[in-house]
Amino acid sequence: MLEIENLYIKINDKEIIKNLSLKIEDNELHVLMGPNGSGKSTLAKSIMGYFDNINGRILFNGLDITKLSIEERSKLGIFLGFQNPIEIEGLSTMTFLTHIAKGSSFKEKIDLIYSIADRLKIDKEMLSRSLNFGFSGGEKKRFEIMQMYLLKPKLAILDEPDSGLDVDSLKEIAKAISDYKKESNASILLITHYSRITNYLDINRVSVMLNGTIVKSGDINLIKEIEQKGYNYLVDSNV
Amino acid sequence: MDYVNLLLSLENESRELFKRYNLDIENKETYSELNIPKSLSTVKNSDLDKDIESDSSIVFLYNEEKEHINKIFVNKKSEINLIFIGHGNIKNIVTNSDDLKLNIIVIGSFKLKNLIVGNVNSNTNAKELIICRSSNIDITDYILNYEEGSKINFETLSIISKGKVFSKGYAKITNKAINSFSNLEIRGIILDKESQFVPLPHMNIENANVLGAQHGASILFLDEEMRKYLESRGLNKKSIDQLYITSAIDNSISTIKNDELKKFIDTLKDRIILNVNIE
Repeated sequence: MLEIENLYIKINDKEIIKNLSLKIEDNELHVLMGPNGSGKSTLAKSIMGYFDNINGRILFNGLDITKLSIEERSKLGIFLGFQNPIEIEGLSTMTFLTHIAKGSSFKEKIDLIYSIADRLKIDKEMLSRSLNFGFSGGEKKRFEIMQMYLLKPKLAILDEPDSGLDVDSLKEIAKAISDYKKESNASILLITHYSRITNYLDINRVSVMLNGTIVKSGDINLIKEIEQKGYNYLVDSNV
Repeated sequence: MDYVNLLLSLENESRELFKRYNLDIENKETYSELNIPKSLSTVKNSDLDKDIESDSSIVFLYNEEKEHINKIFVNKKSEINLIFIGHGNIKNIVTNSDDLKLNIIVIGSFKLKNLIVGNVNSNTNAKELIICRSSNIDITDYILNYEEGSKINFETLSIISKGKVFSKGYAKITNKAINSFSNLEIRGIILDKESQFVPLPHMNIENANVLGAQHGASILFLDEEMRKYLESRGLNKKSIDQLYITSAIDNSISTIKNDELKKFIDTLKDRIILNVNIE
């Protein structure tokens, strides 16, 4: 599904991603963990096409997408659920959703939007507000997941969909992610600091990122290792 | 009451405040071949002087430099929709003695002055939408709480692409307007760096014994981060701008009851958005 080869990204003359290589298989739920500042969000954005000046290659289903625009990558089937979705005042949430929703008629799109809102326990009143404007942290996370359901990507990159959530909301978000993967056979790259959300997901692979590069990959046992030893032991072993 | 003189006196009062902010209008496309539904009244290059006793929707088509003055008197609970299309030099006076929901939509290149007068215990809820595409629009909204208990809520929103809008607002509460309420809100959304939006709200309070008096302005520019977020959902620059305009128009017409008018605005929306080259 996704292959990243020897990726280097510099932002304001500082190297944020250093010689990073990563593979995500079809229908894989891949968890990416790492401490604050390790470059996880930068990696997520680079897959989405946020940065022009990069070295290395990104392949999506065999196609080199390194030079493609954000919009082109989205149309190929890549989705990014943001850690902190930006607020866009003046753009109605409902107008935005009917624009991105797939459906042959307006009624079909509205029905789809309402059914997903019900499924994700999103208050319909939110749909009348400006995009992300005045949404709580939890509402923003749910709304990112809602957009994933509407856009039906083949690869969904979810940047900390669990941060700031209470335990019930966390379970609901995890279920929504899990259900989407089952229904669509999509691949998911889930970025998180903590192992909490992983307790509710069927994970295929785990990678750990430190200082801009992947330092270790493995199966779900790697999460337990991190829980017990922290990230520092990986820092020490990679010095 | 001579409302034209009343407007002149407010123009004089505010002259110093606004003297540096005047735009020339341009002779732009007039949308002259529109299919306006027969159920909607149309005024073409002329003045209007009308008592309104029920819901009413009027499309004003202008394509000349000559100044026109329209006077609309509302005597019963009503919804009034005024759509200005084309280019011209227009003054509108709306006086309300009851409960009025007022929607104003402006498309084209205009020098437009609106005077909204609230009479005793009247209630006016007004929304104005300015769509400025590759043109200039110079607009001054005067809201005048004239008598006791009058309430005026006036919100104006300009959406600007490769154009200029000077949106001036002058809210006045007269000595007689005790227990009145005034809200003047001027907002603008700029879609590109070539556009210019200047909001100038001002309030003149003669009697502070009121329920509320507020005014404000804000400008929103779709910055790079906002655009990238929308691009990540498969939208390109042109469709982002179209979406923004669509959203503003949808919001403005959402409270309009007249279905024929809503459909007409939808056709206008398609024509304006599809026809004008944003890039």
